[in-house]
Amino acid sequence: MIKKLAIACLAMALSAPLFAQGGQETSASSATGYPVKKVTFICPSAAGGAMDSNTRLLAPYLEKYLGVKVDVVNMGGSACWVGWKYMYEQKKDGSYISFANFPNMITGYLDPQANLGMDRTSFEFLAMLTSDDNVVMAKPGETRFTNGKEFLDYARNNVVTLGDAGARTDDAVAVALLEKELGFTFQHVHFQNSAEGFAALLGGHVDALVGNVSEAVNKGGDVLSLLTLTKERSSYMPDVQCTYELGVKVDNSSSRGVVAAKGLDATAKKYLLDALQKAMEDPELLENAQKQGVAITPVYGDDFSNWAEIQETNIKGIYNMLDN
Amino acid sequence: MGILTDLLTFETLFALCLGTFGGLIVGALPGLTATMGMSLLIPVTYGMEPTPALVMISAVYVSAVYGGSFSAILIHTPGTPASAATAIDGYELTKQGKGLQACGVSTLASMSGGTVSSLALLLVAPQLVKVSLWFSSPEYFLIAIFGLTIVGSLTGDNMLKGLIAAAFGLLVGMVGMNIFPYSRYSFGNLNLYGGVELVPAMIGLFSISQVLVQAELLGKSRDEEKASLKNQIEHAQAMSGNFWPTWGQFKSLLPVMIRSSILGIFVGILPGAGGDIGSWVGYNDAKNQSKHKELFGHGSFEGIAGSEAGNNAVCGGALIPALTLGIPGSGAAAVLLGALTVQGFAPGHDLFTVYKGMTYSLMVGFLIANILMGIFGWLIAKKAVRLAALPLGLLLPLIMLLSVIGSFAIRNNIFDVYVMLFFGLVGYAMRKTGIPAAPTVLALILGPMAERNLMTSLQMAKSGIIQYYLSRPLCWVFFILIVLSVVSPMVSAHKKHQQKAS
Repeated sequence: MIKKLAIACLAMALSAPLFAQGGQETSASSATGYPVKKVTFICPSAAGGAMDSNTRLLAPYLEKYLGVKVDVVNMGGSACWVGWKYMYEQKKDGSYISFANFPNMITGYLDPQANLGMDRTSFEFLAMLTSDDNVVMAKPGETRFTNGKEFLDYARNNVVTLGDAGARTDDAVAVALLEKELGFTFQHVHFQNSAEGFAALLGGHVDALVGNVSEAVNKGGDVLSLLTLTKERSSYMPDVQCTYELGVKVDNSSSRGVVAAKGLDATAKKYLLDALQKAMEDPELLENAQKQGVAITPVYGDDFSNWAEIQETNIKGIYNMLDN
Repeated sequence: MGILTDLLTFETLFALCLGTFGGLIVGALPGLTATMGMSLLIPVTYGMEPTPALVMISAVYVSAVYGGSFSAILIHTPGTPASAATAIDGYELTKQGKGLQACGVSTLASMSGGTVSSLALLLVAPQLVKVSLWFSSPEYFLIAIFGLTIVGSLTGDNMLKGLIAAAFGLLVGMVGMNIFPYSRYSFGNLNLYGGVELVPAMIGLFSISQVLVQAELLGKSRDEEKASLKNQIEHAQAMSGNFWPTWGQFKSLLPVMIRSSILGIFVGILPGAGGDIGSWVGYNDAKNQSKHKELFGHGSFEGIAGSEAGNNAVCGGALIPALTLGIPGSGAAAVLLGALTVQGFAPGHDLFTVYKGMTYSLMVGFLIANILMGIFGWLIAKKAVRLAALPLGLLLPLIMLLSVIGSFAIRNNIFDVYVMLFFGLVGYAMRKTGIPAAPTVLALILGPMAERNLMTSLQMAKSGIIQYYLSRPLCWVFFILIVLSVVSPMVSAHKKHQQKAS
């Protein structure tokens, strides 16, 4: 009796992940011109993070408009390169696409030590889904500076420790871009992730922190936003100064979108671009995105590709400053 | 109450029951430990919502530690190392025909140890997390160093072997990128660029190594051993009497249980000391304080109460530093921390603010699991011993299968399966030489933590690094703790030496 019970338990444990995945499957018709029957949509980071939820936000609608099955597979590791490298080595017939994050991809392949054998020209840029602008934050009750202008003035004349979420993240790129434009430096503190950075900011262990607008919005009154790195004030925080209004010509963000390997089958590309555009205009997706606090900022195909090229040029200009 | 809405869903409550019951089975099966059951469960719970997943894993933790006492008492084989102390008096009582009562005392003691420590977790963790904002890189660096100074010495009877295990963990922890994104010791392999994946390594160290050790027994056990096991099981089946202790007996055991529970919580908080240490500490304390010392070793209920309250109290204690500071209080807490990371959470402040619904559900679920396990245990106590007769030929391949699927499922990467197998072989070699695996896993977590925070604190210091550390009061506390933990074994060794000489 117990033996049977134990076996039943083990069988249940074994089948639990199958149930979990089974729920996400929907039937797909093959009445479409897409060259392959199934698309594997790689999420190059672990489940649970922002990349994962973005990928899973998009996947069902991509499936709907592509007309073939779209399977999300998490393949994290090595700052996403495990997943991208995998995609690069597969067939280019449209069976594989991947989610991607910027500037992480660019700082990754620019690293001469990484020896990835891949760069911007290894990718086909399909569609940018979302862009989350950078913002400089302080602790509530901070008296040395209460807005962007005061912060920059203070930092010009004093040593300021400025935290970020890691040496190659969009936050660190934002700091380096600021330094290049301003002509003075901050004292960089590279935390392991943004959670560590926020803890240090709130505990008063660093003077200021660079993060993203969505993070600052989620933290509500726990942080004091000083300066967004944008051309215009962010619609999420209209009272916060932006770089361009202070004459600082720097804007930066954490952006995420969909890429494929270079050499993607032309028919597949046409269908993917079309389906991605329809998916990102689907009112249901937009509603879900709103709920998750994801700002949909679509950029497609060639425009996305050009954007990546400009990003690369900017980052090349400050690459040496990143590791300080 | 609104905070517990995550807990009061069908999925979570089902996961809680399944985890508690499954943990009991895992614990009662000799050779399967709590850590192993938990590490195998991480990939299984991967696709689940975070709350039920984490509740299930933590339920397995407490329940397996308790379940180990059945086989310890009834057939003199501790189901998990945490019940080794229970076996001494438990089996004596079984021989005297009081096996069922011994199980009852063990159940009550485990429940009270677990409940007291869950309450401690619920009360202390949210307070500790408030002051956790005072902690930053310098403090984390020193805590990690403090953890490393005691990790080797606390986890076994042989300090050298503990240190070897910890050193190996430190070495493995150096692979990959730290805060500066240069990958070290990755041999140009992209899969090692970000370091060795923790979960496959843990599955290897805790599960595969155990499978290999158990596999040695396959076909080897002699007929008379089998017959004696069968006898013991039949004997246990035929036991009669009251399961639960009488009110008078309960009152007399209560002081032991409370003292051992409190000791267990402290043992749990210390990095590296797990249920095995907790049970011995509880047992020894029960013995020292007892009015019937002569009964110890010959069937003392107090001994069982001390040991079982101690090992279950460790569980809640170990989660306090894990959830608030990210420092695992035991090998099992390290696994839970791994599960937390897999689900996309970072330990610390956010868990108690942004994700407090999940965290409180986890902690209250933990408390319920401690009570639920007693009820399940009461229902299956007699039958649980039959698990010992479960054929290894069936069990081991299943565990092997789960390990492979589990390691692959984390990132859908076959490389992680190789990592798991590698650590399985290493773990097997370690077991054969008596080197404990827990210090390796703890050092694997604490080593990179120490390095990263040292680097970050260097970046944070506006003046000299030494002045910076000395300007922070909390750093002084940890400096003193480090000095004490390094010096005190030397002092006590010196004293012993002097005593011998005189």
